Amino acid sequence: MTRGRLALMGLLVVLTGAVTWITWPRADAEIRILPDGTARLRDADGERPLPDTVVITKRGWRLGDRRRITVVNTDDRDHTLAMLRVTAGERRAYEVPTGRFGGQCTAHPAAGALVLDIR
Amino acid sequence: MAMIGLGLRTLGIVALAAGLGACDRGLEGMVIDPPKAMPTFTFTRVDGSSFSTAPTAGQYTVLFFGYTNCPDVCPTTMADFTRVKSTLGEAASRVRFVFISVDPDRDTPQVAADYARKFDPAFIGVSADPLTTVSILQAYGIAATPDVSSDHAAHLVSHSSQVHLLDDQGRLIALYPYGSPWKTLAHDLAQLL
Repeated sequence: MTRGRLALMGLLVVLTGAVTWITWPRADAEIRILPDGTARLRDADGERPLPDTVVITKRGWRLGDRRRITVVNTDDRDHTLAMLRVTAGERRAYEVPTGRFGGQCTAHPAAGALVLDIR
Repeated sequence: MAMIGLGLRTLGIVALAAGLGACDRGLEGMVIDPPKAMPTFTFTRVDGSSFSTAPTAGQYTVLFFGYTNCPDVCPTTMADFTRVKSTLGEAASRVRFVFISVDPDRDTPQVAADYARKFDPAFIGVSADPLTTVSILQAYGIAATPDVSSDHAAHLVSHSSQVHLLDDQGRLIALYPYGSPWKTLAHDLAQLL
């Protein structure tokens, strides 16, 4: 194999890797339900207890205009966070269109409700 | 040359995979996968007849939870339903547009029915007793909290505002958040009908 072909192959490998990395469906926000039934949110602003209202914006570049929310349930019971439902021990990714969702939230023992403002 | 072709094919496959990941079976709403079977609820109408959310063969159901004193979200959503129905034309006969009150204390069955009909004569407006309403809200995961700081007659109710789309087997198949264009629901219904 000539040096030129080797360089071209290397370039293609790097380019493919770059495209894969850019288009890989990573989450805009991750909600982790803890074994005590409460939840924590991790997004562009860092990690914190799940607030009553969550604003989710796009992180990085990807095809499509949906937001990706990953919910990880480490509790031993099923949970419902507005329109997001996860069974015990489940990790689930949701592709969500922009707009305002709301609903009952089992990870909010006091308020019992959650609003997801998807932008 | 063959190497370039191979590289381009690889890139094409990656781009296609990414593109496919961005769409959900052609629907633009939030697809519920797998579809969720919803319990059936029966409401008594003013004339004594009943309305059931039980699935009807060949008919889709569009459900919205609100209250008739709502100043913004509910009238906006109901007006959107009018546009959706108009866009669907004849096919709209295979869709039930249903308004379910989250405020049974003030919204009697008559009030709820009149409210829905105000937007379109075919729209169905229903209200149940408070206990049944709680069961319905629980089943759909709807939050509804009266603003007790205001006086009873005109108080607001904070409530979930997404629209629910059920298929002809009574399964929840998609959700439409408040703020999404009415054309999104129209598009998905047109796809399904």
